[in-house]
This record gives sequence, structure tokens and C-alpha cells, in this order.
Amino acid sequence: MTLMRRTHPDRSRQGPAPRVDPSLDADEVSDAELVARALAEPVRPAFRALYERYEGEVYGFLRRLLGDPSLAEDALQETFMNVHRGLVSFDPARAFKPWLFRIARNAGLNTLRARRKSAPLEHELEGDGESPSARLKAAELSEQVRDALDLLDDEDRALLILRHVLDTRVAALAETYGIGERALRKRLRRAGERLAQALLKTGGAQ
Amino acid sequence: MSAAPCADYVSLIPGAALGVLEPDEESRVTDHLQGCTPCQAFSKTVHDTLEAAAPKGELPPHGAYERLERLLEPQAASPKLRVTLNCTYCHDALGRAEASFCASCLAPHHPECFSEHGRCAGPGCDETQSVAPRDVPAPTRRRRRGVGWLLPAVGILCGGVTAAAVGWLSAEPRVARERPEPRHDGRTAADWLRVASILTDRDQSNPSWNEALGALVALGADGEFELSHAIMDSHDPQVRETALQLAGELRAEGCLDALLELGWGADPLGDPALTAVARVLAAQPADSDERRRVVAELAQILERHPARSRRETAISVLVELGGPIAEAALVQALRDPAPLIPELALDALSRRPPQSVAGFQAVVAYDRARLDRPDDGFGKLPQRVGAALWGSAALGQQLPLLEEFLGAAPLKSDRLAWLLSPLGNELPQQPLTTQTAVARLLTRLYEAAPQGSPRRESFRNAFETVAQTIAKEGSWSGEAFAAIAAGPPSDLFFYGLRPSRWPASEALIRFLEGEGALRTRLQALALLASDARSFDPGVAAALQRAASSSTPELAAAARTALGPAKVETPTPASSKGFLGLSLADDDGSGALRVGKVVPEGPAQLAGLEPGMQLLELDGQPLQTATQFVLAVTAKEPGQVLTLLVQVPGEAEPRTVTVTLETRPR
Repeated sequence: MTLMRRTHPDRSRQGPAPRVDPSLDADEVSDAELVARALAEPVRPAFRALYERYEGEVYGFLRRLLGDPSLAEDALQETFMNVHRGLVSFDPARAFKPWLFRIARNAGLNTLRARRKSAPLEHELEGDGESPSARLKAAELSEQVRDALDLLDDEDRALLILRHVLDTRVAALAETYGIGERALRKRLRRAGERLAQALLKTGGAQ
Repeated sequence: MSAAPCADYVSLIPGAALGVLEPDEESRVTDHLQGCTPCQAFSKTVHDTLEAAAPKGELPPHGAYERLERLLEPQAASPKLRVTLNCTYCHDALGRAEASFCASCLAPHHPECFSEHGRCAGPGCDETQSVAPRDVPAPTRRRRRGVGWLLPAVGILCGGVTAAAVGWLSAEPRVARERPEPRHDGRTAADWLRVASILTDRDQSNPSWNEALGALVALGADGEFELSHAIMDSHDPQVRETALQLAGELRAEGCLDALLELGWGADPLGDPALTAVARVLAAQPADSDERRRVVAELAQILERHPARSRRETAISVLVELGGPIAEAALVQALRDPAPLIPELALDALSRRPPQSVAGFQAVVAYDRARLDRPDDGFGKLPQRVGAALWGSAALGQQLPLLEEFLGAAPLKSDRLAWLLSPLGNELPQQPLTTQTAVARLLTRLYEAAPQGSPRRESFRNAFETVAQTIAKEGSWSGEAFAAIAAGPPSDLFFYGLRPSRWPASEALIRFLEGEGALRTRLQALALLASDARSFDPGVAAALQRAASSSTPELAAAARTALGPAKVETPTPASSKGFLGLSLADDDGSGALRVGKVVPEGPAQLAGLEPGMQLLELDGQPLQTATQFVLAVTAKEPGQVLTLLVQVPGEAEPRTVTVTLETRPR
């Protein structure tokens, strides 16, 4: 697996010196080992190493799903708090990443649900930020494509984003969703069909 | 390309892109795609869309892990909590294993204290038997969702409201709660019982509720002590909630420490506790020492409490209480790394604009990038920044900073308009000198902005708001007028700038002869001509200069205003016709309406009333107020005006004839 390099500009400029033990930062240390060590001493270097190994991917996923950076950070925190809480019940025989992303997906969907419940009005008020005509002006293929993605429901969108995060491997996805591979293929197929309909609706296909 | 993809393949193409089709379907799609251009294009779009769903490899903002760690390790940042038992009789610390408990209410005692007192020392309890625990369980730990704090569950030992004396001691102990001397008259015991009922029975429809409430008030300091007790130590969260509500309602100052202690803790009741603090303090004078102490403590909670929700509550309480300490804390919170806290602090500062220079500067320094974010998740953030800045008491001293802020790298134009929009509400609170300086500042920004840009328009609108604000003030200076005169062209004259309210007609003349837009100069001319009191030789001279102006419209208007006979000798005010009517302010429709009529004046005698719309004068359709004013002032007493007026609610306009009189002295 690839390890996200930490090249956050802010971090190099003003952040506190990284506290990660270099021995934990190497690719050779497996997830399972890190989990075991994180369990032994919670919120110690091993947990942080786990966090830093995946923060980019989890945040990228949540950012894509939620759109808003501060919501994404909230969901990121919730994800890792749940990971921290759930380490005890994690089965070390299984892969860590699908489990992590199952938690991240739930956190993201919960955030969306909560936001939808609490903020529809605000959304309307904010609507004038970017006028439809301005959108039309900037209309490119990518814009239409994004509109089509917005038309999908949260679950489908999460699935299509996760597909990228989990290296398009159906097996890992299926494990994340806790269902069999065949069932997941069905699910992907149905999401694809709805995406096609959405594309036809937004004109992305024309 | 324009053709739609084939209907049969629309649902199969995404499946192929996702690699989840059955083999036979897959080969069908592949074959079809080779021959069908629309489907090829659609397939490409699907691929692009699926690619677009990929995350962009962003990293969380700086400090995300530190914030997470703070949530995971709350104990490290929060005051250390130690749970102890205290003897109900002597109030000394008590080991759990050595305690003996009242057989009826389970209040803990030293065994020797219980025997010395001969009965339970809990108020309202006269039990003479005590019990000892056979096996004391270790404190159980509860996890709280979202915070994961571990709370000691001490409830198992707390029998009744007044039973357990369990103290939460912080690392830095605050003022110790000292029990008032218990009163031993017979009434008190009954009162205690009622108080106990109020706390345990939350049914407010119960008639004993009011009675118990009265008893609680009658108990004074005792009652407040008991409330504090219930707030901190009761095992029943409902009892605690009722108790803290009551503390707020009864303005129980004796409960402040308990409420603050709860506010420091991790208990979810800490939020309502802080709200109760605000209610208690609301009754106190703003400069009392107690209030200052509590506000300082709330400021500490806002700064140091690890839970975001508690910091949020602290903000709402601080903004209610106000004062320099609260403001400093809110300013500090603008830099809080947690999401939403800075926005909330800013919201608070917009409702109670900063009094201090530091506060003002902090708002200016507020993350500019946030103002331009398409969705700040919090309504119109720039509006809040604007309200805080325009309403700040430090505005007058900080104008250069503000100018730099508004003039620097441009905000999106709609954000700028929002930033300027609270000006109308906030500026009337500022002194006239500041208002004048703001008018100058906006003029400079207006002139610096590119012609025709929305930015320029925003500054112009804001300038007009300032000018209106100044015009509404009764007392205003020549300097303020000069600032407005030098500003962008505007329709100020109809907003309430009337010559009779101006210090001198020189200013108007400056307008008339200035470099402004023709419209502005014509307005100045009309106003100079319309007001009898300003008709002095200086004005007459100016009108004559205007009559020979090189601008034809201006010259014509000036000649009309002067009239042929008046060029040489200006008409004395008393010889001009008097109608006894003023026009209503323009409501935006452009219609000329009667504003006020002078009682017993010619207009009223002729039947004109406020609200009527003026359509024609002597057969000429009326377009502008200027036209009307000029036509009326051109007539002399005794002359007759014929007006066509539309009365609201009537179908047909009616004709009214007015005979002008001499202006009364």
C-alpha cells in the first residue's frame, strides 16, 4: 500500500515538531502491528502513526463527500474518535483499512444527515453566493459531471468515492460494507445506473 | 455531439466502466461501442464522472491531530477531578470503606459522628439507625458519546436530595461551599421536605410546587446551599437539572460556584449550568465584583475547556453579560482552532460590537479567506464582521486600518456588499465626526475602485447610507456637509437634506457651482430656489451666475427660478405665494404625494390632505418635485393654482383650486 507523505505546508512552517517515532513511520510496520501497539498505549505514538498514515485518505474522502472543509474535519475527528473507541473490538485478523473506511463512511453520512436536518434554511439563504448564471458561464464538462454527482444520493456518492480510495478493489469495498462481493457488484451496478440517469438529466451526456 | 445514447445501453455503460457487468453483457457493450458514436461519447462522460468522484488528496487543516488528541485525552487538559465523600455531620473527608450510612437516606457519616449526633445529620431526616456497606464497588465509568469522558458515577451512594456530600474538587480549589448554620425551628423541617419534593417531583402542575418554591425562597442562604448541593451531587440527572433551573430562576447567587463547577466539568448539564449563571448574574449591577469574578471564570472556560460545545455555551453567556473581560475572551476565541468557535465568537462580537481597539483590530485581522468562502456554513459571515466593525466604539480611531482592510485585495463583490450592509444600522450610534470621516473614507474607496465595477457601486451605496444617516441627524456641521458634497453623485436631496436644515447656503452654492453631475447641480439649484429663507443676495447672485452658465439645462432652470422680474431685485420672502403644503418623501414610485399640510393653510382649506397624489398643475403633468416647487414659488399671493389630484381609493382624479396666500410670519 502507498503511504501518504505528510507535506502539509502549514505543518512544516509552524506546526509543532512531529512526535511520531520514526520507527513507526516506515512502510514496513503493518497496520495490524500499529493497531496492537495503539491498543497497548492509546493516544501514544502508534495511534498517531495510524492516524497520520490514513488522515489524508480519510480526509480526502470526507472532503469529497461533504464538500465543506470544517465539516470534513469534524467528521475526521469523529472517525478517529470512533476508531480509538473501537480498537478494542477490532479483529486483528482482518484488514484495517476497510474497517477504518466503514467508520469514516458512517461518520460522513451521519454528518450529512445531521446537516440536512439542521440547515436547509441556511442553505437557501446562502444560495445567492453563486448565481445559476455564473455557474452556466463556468459550465464545463467537469461542472456538469459534478452536478450529476450531486444529484446522486449520499450513499451512492459515498460508494463511488470510496471506490477510488480503496483502489477499486471490489473485495476491499465489500469488506467495508460488510457484504459479499456479488452483493457489492450489484450495488455498484445500481449506483452506476442511477449515475447514468443523473448524467442524462444534467445534460452531461449531450 | 448532440444525439442521445441508445436507451438499451444507458444503464449498461456505467456497469462496464465500473467493471461489474457479467461477461456476456460486457462483450455486448464492447461490440456496440465500436459502432455507435453517441454511446462512445456517453461512455467517456461516465468515465470522466467516475474519475471526478476521486478525492483530490487534500490534507486536513493544520493542528487537526492536536485537536483530536485533546478530545481523546480530556483529563490532561481539564481540571483534575477527585471524588471524595464528606461526613454529613462534621463535613470532614471520609473514606468510602470506613463510612456508615443513614439507614433511611444513606447520607454518609463517620461512625463516631453518627453516634455523637445520635441520629442522621441530613436535614429533615431523624433516622437513628445506620448501615455499613458490605462490599463497596469500585466507581463505574461511563463513556460519553463524542467526548469520551469518563465520569465517576457516584449516584449509587446518594440516597436522597440532601443525602450525599460528594465534593468535586478541582486542582485549584475555588471558594469552598460552607454550609450555613442549620435552623432548628419546626417550620424549617417542613420547608426542607417541600424543597425535597420540588426537586424530586418535577411536576410543575402539582400545587405543592409553588408552595415549595416559596419555601425555598424563604430558606434564603440555606435554600441556596441546598440547591448547590442538589446541582452538584444528586444522583438523579433530572433533579440536578431542575435544581440548576431553579437556581437561575431564583437568581440564587449562592449557587454560582456550584454552577461554575458544573460548567468546568464534562457533565452535559454543564451547558444549562452556564446558562443559569447568566440568569443569576443578570440581576446584578454590571460593575459588581462578583460579576467580574464570574465573567473572568467564564472567560477561562471559553479559553481552556476542551469540549467545543461548552466553549460555545460560554460564548453565548459571555455575550449576554458583556464587559471588557468578556470582550477580551471573545476576541481570543476568534483565533480558536476548533471549527465554528471563531464564527460564534464573531457572531457574538457583531451583536455586541467591540469597545476596545484590540477588539476592533482582531476583527479586522479575522481570517479574510473565510469571508470569501462560498458557504461558511454560518449565514453571511461578512455581515457579522461588518456589524462588529461599524458598531465598534473604536471605529473613530481605527479608520486608517479599516480603509486599508476595505481597500486591500478585493473581496468578492457580494461579500463586500454584505460587509458594508450593517453600516445603516450601526452608524447612527457613532458620533458625527466619525460619521463624517466614514463618508470621506468611502468617497476615497469609491474613487479608487474601477469605473463601473460592482465594488464601486457598493461603496457608492454605502456612502449614500452614510449621507442619509448624517441627514437624519438634527445637528450637523459644515464639515459633514462638505464631506457629503465631495462624495459620489447621489440623490441626497430627496432623502431629507433640506436647505432649512443646513448651516449655510454657501454649501449649496458650492454644490451648484461644483464639478458634480448635472443632476446634482440641478437639485442644488432647485433647492436654493425653493426655500424662501435662503433667498438672500448671495443666493440670488449665484442663481444669476447659473443663469448665464454654459450648460444650457442649468441656465434654463436658473432663469425659470429667477423669473424675469426677479433678476434685478430678488423677491422678498413675504411676497412669494404660500401654499401651506409639503411633499412626502419619495417612496420609490416616483409619484408626488402630499406630505403635510399647514393647519388652516390654503392647501388645507382647499381640501388637500396628506397622501393625495399630485398629477397636474395648471394643466401641466407633474413629473418631478423640482418642477412642482419651481412652479409654485414662481407665483405670488392671490394667484390661483389648479391642481389635479388623485385621492387614494377614488376612481377618478379630482380638480382642486387653491388661492395662494402670503406666507405667515
